[in-house]
Amino acid sequence: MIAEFGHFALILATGVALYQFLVPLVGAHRGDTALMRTGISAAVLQLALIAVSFVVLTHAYIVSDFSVQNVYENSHSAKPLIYKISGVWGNHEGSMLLWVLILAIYGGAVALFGRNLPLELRSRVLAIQGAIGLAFLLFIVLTSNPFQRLDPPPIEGNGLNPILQDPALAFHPPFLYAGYVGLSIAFAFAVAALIEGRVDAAWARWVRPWTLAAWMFLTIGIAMGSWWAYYELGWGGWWFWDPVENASFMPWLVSTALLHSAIVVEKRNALKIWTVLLSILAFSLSLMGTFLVRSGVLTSVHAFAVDPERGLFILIILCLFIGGSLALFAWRAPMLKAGGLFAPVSREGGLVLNNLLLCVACLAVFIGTLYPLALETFDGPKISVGPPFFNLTFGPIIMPLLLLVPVGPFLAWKRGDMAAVWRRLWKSLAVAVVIGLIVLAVNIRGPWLAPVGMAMAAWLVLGAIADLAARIGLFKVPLSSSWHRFTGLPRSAIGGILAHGGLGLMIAGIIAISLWKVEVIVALKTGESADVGAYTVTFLSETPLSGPNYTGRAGRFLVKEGDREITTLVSEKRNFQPSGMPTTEVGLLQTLLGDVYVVMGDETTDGARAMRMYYNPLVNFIWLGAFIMFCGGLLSLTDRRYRVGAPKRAISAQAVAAE
Amino acid sequence: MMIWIVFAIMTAAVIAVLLSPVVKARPLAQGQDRNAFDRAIFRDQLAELDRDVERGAIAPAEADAARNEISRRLIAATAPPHASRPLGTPSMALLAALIVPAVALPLYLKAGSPQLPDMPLSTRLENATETGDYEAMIVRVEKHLAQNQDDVEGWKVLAPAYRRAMRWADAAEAERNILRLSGPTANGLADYGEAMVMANQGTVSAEAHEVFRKALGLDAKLPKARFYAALALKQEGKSAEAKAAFEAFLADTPADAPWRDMLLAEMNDAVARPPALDQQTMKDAASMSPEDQQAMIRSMVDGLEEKLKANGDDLQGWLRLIRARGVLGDAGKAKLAYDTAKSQFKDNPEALAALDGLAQEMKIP
Repeated sequence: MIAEFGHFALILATGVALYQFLVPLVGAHRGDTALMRTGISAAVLQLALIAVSFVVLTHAYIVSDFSVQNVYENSHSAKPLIYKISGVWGNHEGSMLLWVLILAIYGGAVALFGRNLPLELRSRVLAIQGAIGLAFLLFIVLTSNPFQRLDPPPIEGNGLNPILQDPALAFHPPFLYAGYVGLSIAFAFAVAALIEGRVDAAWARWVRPWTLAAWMFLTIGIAMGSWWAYYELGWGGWWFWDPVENASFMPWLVSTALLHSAIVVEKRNALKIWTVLLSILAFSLSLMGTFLVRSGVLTSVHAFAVDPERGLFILIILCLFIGGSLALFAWRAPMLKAGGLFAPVSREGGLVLNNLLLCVACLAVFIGTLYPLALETFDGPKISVGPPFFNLTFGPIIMPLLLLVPVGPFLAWKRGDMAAVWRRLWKSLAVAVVIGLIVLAVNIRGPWLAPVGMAMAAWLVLGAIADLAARIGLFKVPLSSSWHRFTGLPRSAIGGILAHGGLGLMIAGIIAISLWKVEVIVALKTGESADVGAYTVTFLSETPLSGPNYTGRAGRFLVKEGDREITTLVSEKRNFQPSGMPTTEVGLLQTLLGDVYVVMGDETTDGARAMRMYYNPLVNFIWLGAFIMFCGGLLSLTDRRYRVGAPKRAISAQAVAAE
Repeated sequence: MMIWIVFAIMTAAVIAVLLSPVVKARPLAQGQDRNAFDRAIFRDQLAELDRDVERGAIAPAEADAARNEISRRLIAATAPPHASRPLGTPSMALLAALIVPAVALPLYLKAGSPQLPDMPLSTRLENATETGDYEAMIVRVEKHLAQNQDDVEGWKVLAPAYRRAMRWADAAEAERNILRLSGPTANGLADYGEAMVMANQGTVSAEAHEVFRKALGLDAKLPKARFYAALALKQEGKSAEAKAAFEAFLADTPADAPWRDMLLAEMNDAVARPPALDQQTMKDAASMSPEDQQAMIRSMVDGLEEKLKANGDDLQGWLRLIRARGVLGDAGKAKLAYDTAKSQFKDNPEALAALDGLAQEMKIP
């Protein structure tokens, strides 16, 4: 009965979503406060109901209730508890439930913490959230119901794909979804603004933290996915320009643009229409990502055509929301009043350039991702667009943006003064160029991109430091007053500096691993060694291995740097039962300067084993940079400004509470 | 019934919470002035500007320009509030709340299974005996045996259960354990061998043949062992021996023996035929992937070729082989089979005519 309880809660949530969609919208239109307020209850109820059904499904996984088809198909009684829980969203149905749960969490947050929003705006935002929730709840209940039951129930389940039984991947989807779905709030704000026909400072102030939250989660979610691919897939790569990766990267690019343009709306009352459009595009791309990953269209357009029920449903949702919102935009956007003016060289101008470059970069990724699909749809050949395409298109577009990132924060609003910027930045630029020259001297025979890339990374990090130094007047005023200024800095400013600096570290990692990666493929017998970068790796021994649901071989490797023994690495080849699926476990020595990465391959004819070894210099800077960007976002989010905005909030809140 | 009461309570609670603002809410003391929200933000921006000036983060001239601009916007945002409307009629909200059950009830009736109880694995195993849950009982015995490998009674429960569930490999393992623990008996050996044959898709392996020989050593008249031993001979291509064994077995078989029909069918089967597929194999084949099916067909055809090499007199067999090779797309192998068959039947014009006819049909040069 617990299972049916959860099922009914999910279905009730569908009903509540319809209510949440219609009633507040009518209420806001008629100015009926009571109806508008029921929208707030509806959002909270929706959160409660979906949370109940999610908990019930998780419970069914934990107790191995195989009368629930979803549990039978994706779980196994012998699985460790953590993978029983992560198995809930390790499959299509459960992941969609997680999707609506996160949507409901965002909706509930707007309902509960949105007291400093005008009630009409809040109602309309919640109504749009309700519409999105309704579409996806119907999708779940009608085509992907995780509470489908089996009678009689089987006694054992099918288990979870072994490659997914990994901690990083277990928690990657919740973060990624928190990012994808968070953009729905910006979308809802944009549509609400279009309905109201006004975008004001309060609107911009509210859109920004939600976009920031979504952006943060996207950043960390993408980083986790890439980290997982790096150490679990055993290819030594960290990013493959795979459509699934691109599907999350495109919303990231656009939400980064949105993050920056929302500043302009708040500070200068300009770029309103553009920001609304970006909000719509960001969520549209995240919907498209969901469609690409969930419909099976990526594996093959034809497989999708054979079993189109789910894909078609998402496609309809896609058309409805993207088409609907863009039509609304075309109709209402001209009514939004244009805001303040600014000179081309100004903070606003810089942010416009940032937006343009990010959007064009996103377009390049978009074409590279969808062109093969389109070609296949029209019965062309099945082609795949690989890294060369993206390096040649995305690279040149993003380069000038990276060059300009440190300049932006130094530009004044309205009318910037390049000479002043130069005075504050020339030292950073000089140091960056010197670093580039040193790299050039060390790599005199190429690769030629290395000095440029490293100089750019240094430029970003130094630019961020210069930004901070200028803001606190470092060495210009006494240190104590610098400290005073530092503590008084808005947290969003520090967050921005961290994000820009983290980007620099990430670029350093990307450039280093792309250009200086050492790849060694050798056949080794036990006792033999190979040189990998500055390290010597010796194949010590090979032993049989048996785990709870797999058997395999474990190879041991001694890593030495010169004569100094560093560590012993273990790389495994596992064969999972009952699927017989082989996986590899990478032997990984992580240091800040670079990783030694050892993969034991197949046996060769003469009794040796093929080994793939890599030295990946600075690779951890990629994830370190992403983490710092995440922290920057988190810090910005705590900025006090996002809690201001309600007129006489304290008084009216108390009055309500006293009733 | 209980579950519907719970659902009714849930629905009622949802509607109650949904409507609570309608009951509680009074109109705001003054109408909500949208501009007031903007004014609050502009004031905050001014305050921030003052702090920046105080910390020296912004030059006074720039600060003045910014202050001017924000103040202008502040003044612009002082339009009078529009008059707030009174509360709408509660009846409308009440009516709207009916949306929830109107959506939920039909959806649940379509998608739900209110009659099905929960089946958590642990309770299922605990109550297996009371509820007569056959699969759960098997799992319980399995768990018990994983700890106590030498409990012959347990294996004796499992062996027939596995047979019924057609889990032949598991059944063979159980029979092997019974033999290990209670010593070889003719019946036990025959059961073990049979499970091995079934697990092997109906083919009697050399190992299984040995088991049947041992069983016959203990009881020379044991029907099951005699049958499979004869079948083994047949599959090994020893047609004459197989024929003798089958006939001897038939002679000892009473007219009303349940296996008599199966025995006769097996005897009538052409000697060189590949082993007939048992039902299980057919079922497996149906659920196989196309590649696996292809692989199975190929292995059957290979088996046919082996048999023909041992006993080349079977014209029908050769024709089947050539046709099969052709259909599977192995033109080279088809040609090879055709040439071998032609040399085999070089003195038999009728056979040669049949072979040539097929070759023409299959476009074999």
